[in-house]
Amino acid sequence: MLVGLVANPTSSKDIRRLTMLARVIDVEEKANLVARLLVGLGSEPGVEVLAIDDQAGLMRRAVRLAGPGAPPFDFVPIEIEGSEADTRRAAAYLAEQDAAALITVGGDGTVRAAAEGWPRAPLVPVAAGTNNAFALTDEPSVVGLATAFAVSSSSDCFLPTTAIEVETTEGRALAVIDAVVVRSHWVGAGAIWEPAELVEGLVTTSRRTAVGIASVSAAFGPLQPTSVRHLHFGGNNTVRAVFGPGLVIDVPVTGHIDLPVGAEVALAGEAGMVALDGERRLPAKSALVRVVDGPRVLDLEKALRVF
Amino acid sequence: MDIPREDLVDMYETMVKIRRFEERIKEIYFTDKLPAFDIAAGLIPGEMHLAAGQEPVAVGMRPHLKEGDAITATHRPHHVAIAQGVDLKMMAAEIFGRDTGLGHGKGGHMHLFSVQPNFGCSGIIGEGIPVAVGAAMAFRHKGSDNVALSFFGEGAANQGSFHESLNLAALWNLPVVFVCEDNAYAISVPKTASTAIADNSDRAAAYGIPGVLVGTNDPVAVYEVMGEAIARARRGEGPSLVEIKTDRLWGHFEGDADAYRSDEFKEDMAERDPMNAYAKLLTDEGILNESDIAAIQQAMYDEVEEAIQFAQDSPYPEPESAMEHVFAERTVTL
Repeated sequence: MLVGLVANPTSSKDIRRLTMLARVIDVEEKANLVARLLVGLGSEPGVEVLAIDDQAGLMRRAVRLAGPGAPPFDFVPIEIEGSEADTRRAAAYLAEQDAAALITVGGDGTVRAAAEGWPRAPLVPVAAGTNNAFALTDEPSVVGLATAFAVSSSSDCFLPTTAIEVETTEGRALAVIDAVVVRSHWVGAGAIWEPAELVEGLVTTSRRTAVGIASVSAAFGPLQPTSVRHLHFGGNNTVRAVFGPGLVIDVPVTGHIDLPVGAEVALAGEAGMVALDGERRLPAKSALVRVVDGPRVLDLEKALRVF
Repeated sequence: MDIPREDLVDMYETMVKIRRFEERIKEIYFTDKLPAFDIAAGLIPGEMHLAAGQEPVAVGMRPHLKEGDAITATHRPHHVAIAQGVDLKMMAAEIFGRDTGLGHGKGGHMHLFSVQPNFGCSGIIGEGIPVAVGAAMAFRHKGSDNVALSFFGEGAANQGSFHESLNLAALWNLPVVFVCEDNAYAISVPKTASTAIADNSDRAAAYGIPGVLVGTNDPVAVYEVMGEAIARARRGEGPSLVEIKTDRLWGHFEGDADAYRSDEFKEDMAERDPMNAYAKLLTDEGILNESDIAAIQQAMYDEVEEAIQFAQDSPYPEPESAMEHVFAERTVTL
């Protein structure tokens, strides 16, 4: 059974190391994490891994570290340019190869790029990012083992999710957690750390344990599984949110409404940019967002019960 | 996170000035050195290391600096010196070895020293890093809110001076920002052949300070990160390490055949040229139009030309002054 693996060497290194208490997850730590994943995957027969190569040598370090415990392994045959386009292209390739699972190692941005390349991917998102609103934070050896069980089993161990499709004059993009219009007109250092920047946005999760915009949404109660919450920011009323690691602040919110799959909204065009999953990305002018079916995500508990 | 228009335009103007300066120095450098390459001959004696492509690393700090801040740089110093506002005429004169230069023509291109603004650089790898730590110590002792910045390459991050400096700066909570310009090559040695780990920003954790990776050669990204790092140091919250992936468009030195980098590598770099990318960003956002760009180019070209002309018209130091300016002169009262 083919399992795809996309590990991002650049996650957890951005400006939030200065603007909040975000920690660095260095490349060697990620290699250790991936090595533990590989050992978990390799402990069930029949699993083969195709992984993306990278300019930091992350996968090569991980394979060396995992040693004989790793499953049969090769690199996805695509040229690496050292940007998120590599993740998108690798995911698209793995979709063509009909991989039974796509493991991502990185932050929410890594998951987003993978979902853009393969919109209905059977995802196993392993947390190595700053917020990790989407990813699994469990021990990677356990996640690797669970993935091996899931791809070897006849049961469907993946759960559906909802995503947000964003259409602007620059083309289409996908967000797996949130698409938010912010005031800044620049991509710059990417991240957002000031609530005053927020204008309006959509968020797919209201999990109380999540960090970021999801934490803001959690203040307004649970979301139906196939719904998305439309938030308007500003005004005098605030909600307390864990906006980022070590950043517990009041976020001004004027209103919210829950939208079903299929709903379409035109976002405030006069503001600057649309931030996708916490990173400034596209100009907000003429931006349209649609609630769509998202990637499928591993149900860890169910996969482990397969054993 | 709103960036004032004047900061965005100022960064572009400075990038144009830097690029034009480097291009003119490149043109003039080989004058009279050929047919057999004689490094001492011609208008610009000695080696030459130009920073075309690395402009964003330097300009991003500009709007966050205040008078009295101290900066140290490397053998490839022009972009940093120009960004800090070192006198362009005196800098050109120094490169040309003239008496009107920053060091009376005795230091040359790799040894540019300015008191106001406080700038110094050296050809010794990793030399400037502890010097910046010393400046930061002085600022703390004086009770000022000035900061020191140290620019160095990814090769220098393997030197002992880098590790000793980060350790002391962290231990004593000093107001210094360590800026690693990663252009992937230390002369001809690719980073993968010199450095055990992948990213130098990861090394910050070993000293208990924040480390940030700026993965794109984009002045706006550098502006935002440097703004936070400098503000943090000024507030007394201590040092940080910023690693910026940048591009050295030309060879290590003027005269370098640069055969160790593939044509494809160089073509990719040329496509990413930050001058074009940033100009496009500013015009797309309506910050500048085509005639603004042309006007800025003309103004910066004129300023560079004036500096070059000043240098060419300046006298050489007299041979009798060879032993002056070697030691600081002090009167000691016993």
